[in-house]
Amino acid sequence: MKRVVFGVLAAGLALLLRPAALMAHHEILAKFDNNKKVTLRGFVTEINWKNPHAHLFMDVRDGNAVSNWAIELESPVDLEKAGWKADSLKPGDAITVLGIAARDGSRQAWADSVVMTNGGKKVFDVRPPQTAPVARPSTAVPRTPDGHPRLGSEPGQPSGYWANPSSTYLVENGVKVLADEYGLLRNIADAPKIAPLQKWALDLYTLRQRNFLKDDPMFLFCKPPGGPRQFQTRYGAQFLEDVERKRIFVLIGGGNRNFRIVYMDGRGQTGRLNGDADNPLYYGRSIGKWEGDTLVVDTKGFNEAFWFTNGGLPHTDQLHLVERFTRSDATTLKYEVTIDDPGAYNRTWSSGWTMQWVEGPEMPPYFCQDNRP
Amino acid sequence: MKQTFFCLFCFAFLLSSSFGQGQRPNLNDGVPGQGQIVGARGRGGPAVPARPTPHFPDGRVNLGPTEGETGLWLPVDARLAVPDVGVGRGPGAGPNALRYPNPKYSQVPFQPWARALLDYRLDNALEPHTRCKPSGGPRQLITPYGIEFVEIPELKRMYIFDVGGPHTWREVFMEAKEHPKNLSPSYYGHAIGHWEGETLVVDTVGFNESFWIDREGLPTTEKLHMIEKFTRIDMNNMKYEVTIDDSGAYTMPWTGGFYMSWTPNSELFEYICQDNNFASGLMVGTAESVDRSSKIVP
Repeated sequence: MKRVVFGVLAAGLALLLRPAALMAHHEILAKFDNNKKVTLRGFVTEINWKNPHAHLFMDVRDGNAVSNWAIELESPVDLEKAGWKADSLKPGDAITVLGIAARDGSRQAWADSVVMTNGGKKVFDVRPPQTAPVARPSTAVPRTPDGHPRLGSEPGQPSGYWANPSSTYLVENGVKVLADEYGLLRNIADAPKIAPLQKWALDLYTLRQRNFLKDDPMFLFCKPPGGPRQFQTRYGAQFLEDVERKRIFVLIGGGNRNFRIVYMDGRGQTGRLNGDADNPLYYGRSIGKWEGDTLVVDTKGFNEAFWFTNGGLPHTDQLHLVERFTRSDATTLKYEVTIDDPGAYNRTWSSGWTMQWVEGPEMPPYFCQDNRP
Repeated sequence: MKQTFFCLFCFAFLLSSSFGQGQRPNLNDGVPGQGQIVGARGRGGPAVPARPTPHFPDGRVNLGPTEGETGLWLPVDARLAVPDVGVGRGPGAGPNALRYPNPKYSQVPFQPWARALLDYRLDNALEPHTRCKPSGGPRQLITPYGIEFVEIPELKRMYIFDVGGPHTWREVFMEAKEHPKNLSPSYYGHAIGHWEGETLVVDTVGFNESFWIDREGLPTTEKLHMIEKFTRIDMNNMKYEVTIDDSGAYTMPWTGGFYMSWTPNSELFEYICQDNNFASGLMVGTAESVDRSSKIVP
């Protein structure tokens, strides 16, 4: 492989990828500075095609020296949705990267665009494409033989899952506060409005926000997205009803592709003998029942090692959630959650959003741990 | 730093301690809280008379618990190939355990590079599984915490849920006709299942190269085509056979396997490998035995 440094931007460029210009990724703004724009010209030395974020490495001339830069990209799941394959770029390819540089001055950049300087046949868009809901001929809610709505796939029909949440952060019902996909407030002064936070919890939340959410355990250490957060990720969630054993599996597309079990067999919120009986949990202990057409899930027994929502609202081990799932039509799932945590909030409060049915493809195989050590 | 480093290997330690003792547990002494490691109970082969293989009313083999009961499968002597010298007993195998006649390493049709890589891995065991990576094929079945088969017949799906490892699942498309073209390589691949009499046969392609298929480090490539056969020979024992067809690493297909033992009165529970995972911090730290070759900094 030639490691010649490429200094001149040639004509005939092909745009490889272009993110939504103002899309503020929480992990990205924590590590990279939107005000430090960089243009890097050079040659690809390596592609690391792994979740949560793919990387490409490139040799760049800086004066007379050649240095190797790490260029961070969206997840392979998102890049593949946008048409980019693991071998779309190869070592030796000449590229120009427009992006933002790392806050700490290291040779790392987040790519806003990657331009191939020769060949240039393909155009990619790194913006995670919103998976379009499939229009179905009927809006009738599919039901099981015993009459309650199916939250999962219908026998004989294409399989599907729930994604594209209408909100990706928790905010108390009735409150208007703007934040980005990752729950980063547009205006930090809105922090006290978002939920009835106790003083310490408001201080911690504000600190997390001021740090651009850089301490997010789900991104740093691939800790599970417990609580409402499992329904806030890009990669969706799926319901699997195991009628024979009276339980519903929630298959979680984000985080590290964990599963959570909602027990429908009338048991209490106790742990598993020979298992997790004594531990507070990331997903808590969930018991469910049908109230009319709504699945009501009551969960307690959480630990404090994770963020239960994008944006970093704190919780304690007193957290008690009541989640209500209603398939209001064939392609819409209404999610309502009541948060009762006297350790962090002044009173019980509620939030909610809808998710859309994504029919046809399987939930993408996203593992946060993929490129973690 | 030392503490966190130590905890990274707690899991590996648990495996070696619980799986390495060779004691034969008694299925009837399952009183919790007696200092035994959970996964070590209920294992041990045919010494306890077993009920016959359970079936659902429609005749399907039931790979899980019968109505009103609970249980998980745990592996016994979970290896696919064994050393030529000092075969020993693999994890969880008591003297009377059922043991699959695995090939010796010298009988496995390695390509030279694959044999060399196995030898390297045997000497430098820091396998991806211990760093919370998903583990496809047989490796998903090999933890001290158990697995459960969940069949959803109306959706023609079989799921294999694991407690250990990354706490995730494998999906098997029952009666699907063929694998999709142009699969993106993944940890679990694309799996198609069907029943051959009493045996569940799972055919999988589309694997990536980021995991080991066993604890020892048998190499595989993206060409891996795996055929697994699960046969519940009675209530308490499952025979597992896997044919490794990977022209990238082996000169011809070969077969290994092991048995799994039913552990009654246990259910899937929350085990999160990442709970104490500070590996990313270690990568830029000073622990010398950790591979710091990753250039990825979260």
